[in-house]
Amino acid sequence: MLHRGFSPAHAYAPNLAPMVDVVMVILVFFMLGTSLAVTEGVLPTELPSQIGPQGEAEISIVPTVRIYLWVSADGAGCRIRVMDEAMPTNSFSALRAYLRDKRIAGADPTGRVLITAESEVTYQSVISAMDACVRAGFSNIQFSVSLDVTAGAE
Amino acid sequence: MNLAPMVDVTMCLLIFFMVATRMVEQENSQIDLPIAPTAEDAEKQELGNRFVVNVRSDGTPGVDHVAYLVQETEIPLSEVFTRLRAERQRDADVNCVIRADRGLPYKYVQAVMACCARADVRKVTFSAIPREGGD
Repeated sequence: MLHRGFSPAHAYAPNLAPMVDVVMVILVFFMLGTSLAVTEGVLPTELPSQIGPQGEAEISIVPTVRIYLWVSADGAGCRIRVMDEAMPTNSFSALRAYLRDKRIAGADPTGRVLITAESEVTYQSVISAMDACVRAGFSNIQFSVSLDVTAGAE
Repeated sequence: MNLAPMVDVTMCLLIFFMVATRMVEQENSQIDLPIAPTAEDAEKQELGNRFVVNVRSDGTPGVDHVAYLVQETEIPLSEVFTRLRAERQRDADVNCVIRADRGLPYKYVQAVMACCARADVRKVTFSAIPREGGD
């Protein structure tokens, strides 16, 4: 029998193949994008309230731990001094172990840890020192900042 | 061939991955952030109103110069201080997020921190990549 006029609706099957192709490409993009995404973390700290526009730097609270980072003249990289004593090995894992021992020995984990670094120490070293403190269980980490350091950093 | 079920499944997968993909807020992707395994997930942190300062080496070998970028615009350090002070006047709880190259000398980061101190901005946050290998 010959049909005239409009064909029945089921006769029009849309061609989905191009759409499937595109959707598959987008799917693969998002699958790869999910696995390659670099997450960004943060390390929060607070500047001591004693310093400020008035310029008073009278910090009365004695820090529980003082860490000093410096660069030696012989080019051996970053050196670490804790409580005015040089660390036997200049690695941040050693610093972490030292701080952990100190905390286990009874140091207050909420006590102030003061990190002071020389100008030429790399930023990664300072962050590694902060990371070692956090890993050892200390939570109140602060940095000593001289208000006149802006002069050489323009 | 009936492709409709396959399209359904593919669409579901697509939506899943679109939602799962975490659009990490990258204020400036050209910065090699320091590595710190204990860095907390930026999305889970309540950073509040933040003022992001990017500190980037300009890449010229042997030349000790960095660029301070705020909202993708290079500004001098004095301008960083001015803007921090303006932000502080607008919101007392403003959080200064410092994103700096890991290989830079600390003095450049310290300079931004000094600006924060002078502008009376107490909260300072360092951006880092939370993975092993920073030692």
